[in-house]
Amino acid sequence: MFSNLGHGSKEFLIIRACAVLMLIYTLYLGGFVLLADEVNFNQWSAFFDNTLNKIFTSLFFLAFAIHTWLGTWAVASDYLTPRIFGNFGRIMNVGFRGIVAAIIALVLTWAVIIIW
Amino acid sequence: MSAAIPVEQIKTITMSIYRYDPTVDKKPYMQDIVVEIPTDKDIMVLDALHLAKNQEPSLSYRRSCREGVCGSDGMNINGKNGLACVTPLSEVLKRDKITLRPMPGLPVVRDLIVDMKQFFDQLEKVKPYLITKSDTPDIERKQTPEAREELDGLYECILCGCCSTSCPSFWWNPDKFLGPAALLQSWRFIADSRDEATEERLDDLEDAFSLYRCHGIMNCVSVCPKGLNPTEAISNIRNKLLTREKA
Repeated sequence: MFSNLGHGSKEFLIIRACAVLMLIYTLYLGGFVLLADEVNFNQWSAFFDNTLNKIFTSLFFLAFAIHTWLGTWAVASDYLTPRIFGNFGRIMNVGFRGIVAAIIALVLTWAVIIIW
Repeated sequence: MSAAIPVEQIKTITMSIYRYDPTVDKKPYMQDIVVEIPTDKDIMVLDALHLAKNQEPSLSYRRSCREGVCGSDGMNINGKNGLACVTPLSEVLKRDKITLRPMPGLPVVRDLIVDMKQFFDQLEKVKPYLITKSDTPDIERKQTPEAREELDGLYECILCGCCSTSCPSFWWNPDKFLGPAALLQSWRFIADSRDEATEERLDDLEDAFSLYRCHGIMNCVSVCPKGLNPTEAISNIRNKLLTREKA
């Protein structure tokens, strides 16, 4: 069914799928913190030693990256455009997206180093 | 007017009106026009505008039917789009003052008149007419009463532009995002049991802007003078796009 969808529909679903995944992960992590008697370094470390938790956490950061990239593209294509800022709008748009890309790359790299 | 009506039945109001004549003015400005209105009956904003125009003959605005059918006098009344002819003055007067501006997001031709070209260009893109491929029947293309009911709440649009010009997505991308009025018409023909171009219509909306730039903030629903719901129509199109199975 997914292959039948056009560009706009795919993007719409991907953004929402990523948001749902991030919500589930947040509830999962929140549940761990709330249900644990005490969250100390050993428990925290044991939680993230679990391979499934590592995969789930990695998926969270992947979803975060995709959601952020697509979401900020939408925001930039509304507000940072030649229509609003003239020729400078294109430069602002590219600059903004470059900064977002750098932040996402930094967060992903940092996440991989910490998790794995 | 004051000569014909007893003084106790008159009150003065201030109409702050956006003025701009590109052939004369370097930039737009707001002009306060004080008019006398009767207190023994409620008049519409359009009636008050006529009174203002008696004082300032150069004041320009569109109007035609003066009963909410032609959609000519869409304007921004105290910050909210609406039709001047069906908006009672008593509902919008604040401390005996009213502020009128042209509908936002479109180029101003003069005073309260905007250039609607972009609006109608977007309407044209959705092909707002029945498209058929089968042979033309001898008499007419029939429709069940139930299928006809599906068009209620869709066909009544008068294309005044109040909805699209109150939509921020339309303000930012009026050439790419179709806007609530055009999308309502798009759904009106997708939902029509006699139309035979549903797949083509949906294909045309599959990009990231035409339909998906709607974020569902419902400004369009809030301002529609006919009480229509473009957001629901957009949601219906989206559901159709996401659940269809291509041949």
